[in-house]
Amino acid sequence: MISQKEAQQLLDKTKEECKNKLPAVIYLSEIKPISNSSMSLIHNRISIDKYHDRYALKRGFYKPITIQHPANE
Amino acid sequence: MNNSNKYVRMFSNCIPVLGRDKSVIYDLQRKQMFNIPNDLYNFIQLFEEHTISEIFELCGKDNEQVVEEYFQFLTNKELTFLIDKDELGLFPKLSMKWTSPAKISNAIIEISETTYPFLDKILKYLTALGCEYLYIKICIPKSYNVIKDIVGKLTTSSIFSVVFEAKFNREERIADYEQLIVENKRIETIFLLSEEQLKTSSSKILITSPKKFVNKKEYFFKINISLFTESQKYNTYFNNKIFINKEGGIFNAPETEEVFGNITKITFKDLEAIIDSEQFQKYWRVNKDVINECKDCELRYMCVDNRLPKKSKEGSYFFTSKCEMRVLN
Repeated sequence: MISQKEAQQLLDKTKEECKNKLPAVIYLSEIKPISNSSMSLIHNRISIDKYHDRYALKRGFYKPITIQHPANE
Repeated sequence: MNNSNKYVRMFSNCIPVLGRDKSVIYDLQRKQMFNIPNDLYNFIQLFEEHTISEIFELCGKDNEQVVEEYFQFLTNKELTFLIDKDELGLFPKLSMKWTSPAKISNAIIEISETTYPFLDKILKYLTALGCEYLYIKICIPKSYNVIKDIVGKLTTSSIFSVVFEAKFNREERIADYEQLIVENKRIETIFLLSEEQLKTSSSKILITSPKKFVNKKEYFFKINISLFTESQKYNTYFNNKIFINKEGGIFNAPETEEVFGNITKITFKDLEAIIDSEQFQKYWRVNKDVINECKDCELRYMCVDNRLPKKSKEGSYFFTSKCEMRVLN
């Protein structure tokens, strides 16, 4: 088993190497919440009410399932 | 700005379809159609390889006015746009590939004393097959209670939309049906069969005489990308459909005669085997392009026709009854 200090050094070294190879590597401590102004830009998110208006109420199939309705009897 | 060296392109979702006497441009995105003469269809084919000035030259001085009219029509209806030669490769044609994750996409079920007790089983099997759209015909009394019960069963199911057809009984109230529709978004339409003149405020309730045939053009002809692409290789009525009749008999559709088993007696594996069988899928691939009567009809990719195609000795298909759809157009 390696000592904590050694483990920390190993981790730092790995992080450093990753950083060199992948400039976009994100550390958990660096993740920030999305600001309100950014949220307002995500315009394709719609509220549940609007979802119902736009999609859920239009539940028809793209073609008729049966032609003769009511069926000729 | 001089456009004469530019190329004309149709929007990829605007597709001209050649017919016998006339042609149609399908606008799949706006769900519209434009009737055009066959000459304009042939004219559109020139866009592939020629610039505007070349097209004017090819059509000759005598036709200059018509060519201008054609260009004007296509531009006004927002069906075409202009591009340069180096942009030609940037506008590929729309893919005509159609696939469905469901083995059965739509089902017609007749609810009777025999099939009603097996409804849970039927719904479980259909859900497992990927079916999301149902047409349920109620053939027993107390329609309202039955519909209410069925809708309750669907609360947590993946069935997306249901159409009901039921006889309206005098002791029932239209208001109850209206309330049911408000509470259940899965109900797409309820057809109430009644000889009486009844009124409803719901657009989802259609009250009609049992003998009347609903023959609205909008009902038979649908212009959308799914139907257009499916109809290239499949019969849009019989494909991915199942019909369970009053006795529980399994058919491809109400119009087909062959019974493939009884839903009250079979397991899911049996049902799957039936649906996978070549015999069950006999009409699925009989698309309009192989049916003599339909192959040169310009409406063939928007029409859902429930007539049973018959195979001729030469291998092509034909109908024994007259087409009632074209009359509506």
